[in-house]
Amino acid sequence: MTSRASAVSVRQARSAPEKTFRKLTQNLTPYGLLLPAVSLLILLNLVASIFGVYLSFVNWNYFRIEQRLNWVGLQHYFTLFSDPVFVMAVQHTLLWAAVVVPGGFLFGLYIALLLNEEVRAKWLFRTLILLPWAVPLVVAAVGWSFFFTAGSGPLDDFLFRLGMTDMKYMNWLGSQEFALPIVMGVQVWRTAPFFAITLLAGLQSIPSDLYDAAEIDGANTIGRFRFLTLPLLRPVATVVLLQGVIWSFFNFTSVFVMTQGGPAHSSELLTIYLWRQAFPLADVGLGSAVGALLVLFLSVIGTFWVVRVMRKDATA
Amino acid sequence: MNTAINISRREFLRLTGAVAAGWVLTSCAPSPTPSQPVPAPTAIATTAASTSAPKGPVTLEFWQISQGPNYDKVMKQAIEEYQGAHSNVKINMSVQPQQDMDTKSRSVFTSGGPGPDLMVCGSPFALGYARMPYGFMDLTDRIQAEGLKNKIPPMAWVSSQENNKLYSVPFTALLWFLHYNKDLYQAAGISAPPETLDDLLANSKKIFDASKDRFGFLAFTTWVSWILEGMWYNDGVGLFDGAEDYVKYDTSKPITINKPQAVAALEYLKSLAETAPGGLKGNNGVKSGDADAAFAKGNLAHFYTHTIHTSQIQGYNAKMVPLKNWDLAIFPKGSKRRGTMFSPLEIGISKGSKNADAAWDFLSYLSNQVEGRIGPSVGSLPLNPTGKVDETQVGSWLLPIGRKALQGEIWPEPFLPQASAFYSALTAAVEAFFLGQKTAQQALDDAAAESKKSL
Repeated sequence: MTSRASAVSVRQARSAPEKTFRKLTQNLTPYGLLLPAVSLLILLNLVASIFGVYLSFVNWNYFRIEQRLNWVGLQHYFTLFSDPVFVMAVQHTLLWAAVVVPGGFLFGLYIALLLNEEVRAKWLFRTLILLPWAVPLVVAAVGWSFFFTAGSGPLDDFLFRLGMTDMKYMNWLGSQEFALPIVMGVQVWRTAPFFAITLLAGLQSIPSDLYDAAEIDGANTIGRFRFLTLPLLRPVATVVLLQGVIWSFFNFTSVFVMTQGGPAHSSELLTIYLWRQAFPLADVGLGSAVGALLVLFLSVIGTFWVVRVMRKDATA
Repeated sequence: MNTAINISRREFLRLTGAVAAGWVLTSCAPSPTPSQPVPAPTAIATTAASTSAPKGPVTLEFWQISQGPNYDKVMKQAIEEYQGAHSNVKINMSVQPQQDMDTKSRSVFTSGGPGPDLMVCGSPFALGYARMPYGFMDLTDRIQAEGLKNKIPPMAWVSSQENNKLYSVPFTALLWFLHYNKDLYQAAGISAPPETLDDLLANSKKIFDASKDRFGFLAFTTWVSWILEGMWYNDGVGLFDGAEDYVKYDTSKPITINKPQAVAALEYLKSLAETAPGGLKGNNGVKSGDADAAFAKGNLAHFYTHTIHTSQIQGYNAKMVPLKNWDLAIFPKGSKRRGTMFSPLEIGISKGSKNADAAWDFLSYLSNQVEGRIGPSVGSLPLNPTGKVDETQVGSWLLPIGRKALQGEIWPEPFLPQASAFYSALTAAVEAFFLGQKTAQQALDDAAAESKKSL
């Protein structure tokens, strides 16, 4: 009996640190598994971002890489706000976000609602709808540039055949009135499938009995959409809209390929302004200041969005 | 039978720990490449010219800018042939976009890290590399001993020469010609291409008739600096004070792109651009490929561009291939004759190369045996007149006029790296002027102020 009791106590004594170790490993394992990814993120994002912010306070000419960096404090930020082209780029970027995000969202919502209905060959429509999103943006932008080419593009040719002779050499992308609206239209075309697929997933997660109940209660189509679909879609919509806003501020490719911000800066966004300052004009400090302002602005919007809107959703 | 491998959590953690420890240890181990910068071997073989091929096994790192599939194909063949004749030499070719290669090269040539033995770059970059601690070495004696200095036209050396020393060898050049449509000339009763700027404007206006779908000149603004620079140099204006002789750009001198002559050139360009398809606004934002297409349609009388676009080489200008109702003119002529702008590639050997003799032997082979094949394959011109030329290559029709231009009728594209800043600023300025937002003087003042930031 005594020997048995002592064996138990030894086992208990031995199992206590073992338990602690097991608990510790259980607690630490998730962190260990996350460590490589988090390290990479810190290295590639955080360190690069901090370095980018640092660059916004120094003078660095790309063509004189061997020269020392001179600390200039807030000079680049003052320069930016006194540059009319920068102010124009800010206006264009805000307009871009105000048009492209709601435009893509509404277009995407419309497509999602159509695809949510019972139609034949639904898979085919879904595939076709996704095509603009699946095509690489550079390829799509080059294709659209060709479509709008003055004189030899299909649009000018089509208008010419309709008898609108004045339009034969309409330089769409070289026109300060049309350049930005056209590129915004292309971007709406491009982003709508993303919104559509995400919203479709949200729509399909809404239980159908809710619609049945609403119908029994006498709700018509508009009522069902307004009081059932929209509120239940809100969590998904909130996330995709935030993502859309962030993406819209960082858009570069379509404008760069189609207009490079021209003519005479009339389609210049902040990202194009950043690129022009940092690369062709070699003013890396000024370009970094634009980048830092963009990140700061988007961080504020993102935080506000998450705190206000999502909290509201959680309490609803 | 269950063949799945069962692994306990403890074993998994052990395994993960072992992998992590191994990773940390290997990360801490000394790098296989020396982190200490190799002292710049400035004296290594920079004065002793040697054309003898190396005896022992040698690997040459060969970096070059991307020039398209035709160029790469001919270069690969040439390397295979060279390696076939030199069994002890292996050449690792790395093809990169100019911007990427420039960033890497600046880093390597400043720090002395592992880099190329020899390199092909654009002419604006060569002297910048030569000034770096581990950049291009002095090749003067080797070039003299090989006789290349006297063979290649003097104007081609300006982008590789500093303080009477030569740091790179020019290797094929792009040439800018005035392309003119012979059918439109004939229809307008004009017998010869223009020789002066006044001729060009008069001919453009004479041919221009929008109702008949005939146009004079397209000054596509994305590359308008090509046209403007020619006009400025013709009128004695460079990018900086004193740069009109093309020999050296002193970036500490005032920028001159807003001088009265430059303003007059821009006003003149506006008159020309009014004869474009779509009128003055028709020039804005038109890209090089669009301009090619516009000229290929056959209703545009003039097109000023470099020959890579019009060389009839498949892949560069597919739409131009069936057309040959046009010809080339060296432009402008006249009392202030400057001829045609040209832009060579340059081959240099880095000071950090441990195989400078082998690198020079390969460089010499490229200049004497390969340039004549590779130039006509991509619509550019070989510069070494005694080199072996492949007249069967598709772009060889350019050779006669190219050779004629090389006889004193060429002037180099600005070879300072900051030229891109000038071009970017000029594009926006010219567009603002064409849109009526600014006067010519205001537009060029703004462009000058913006370009200055890059210096």
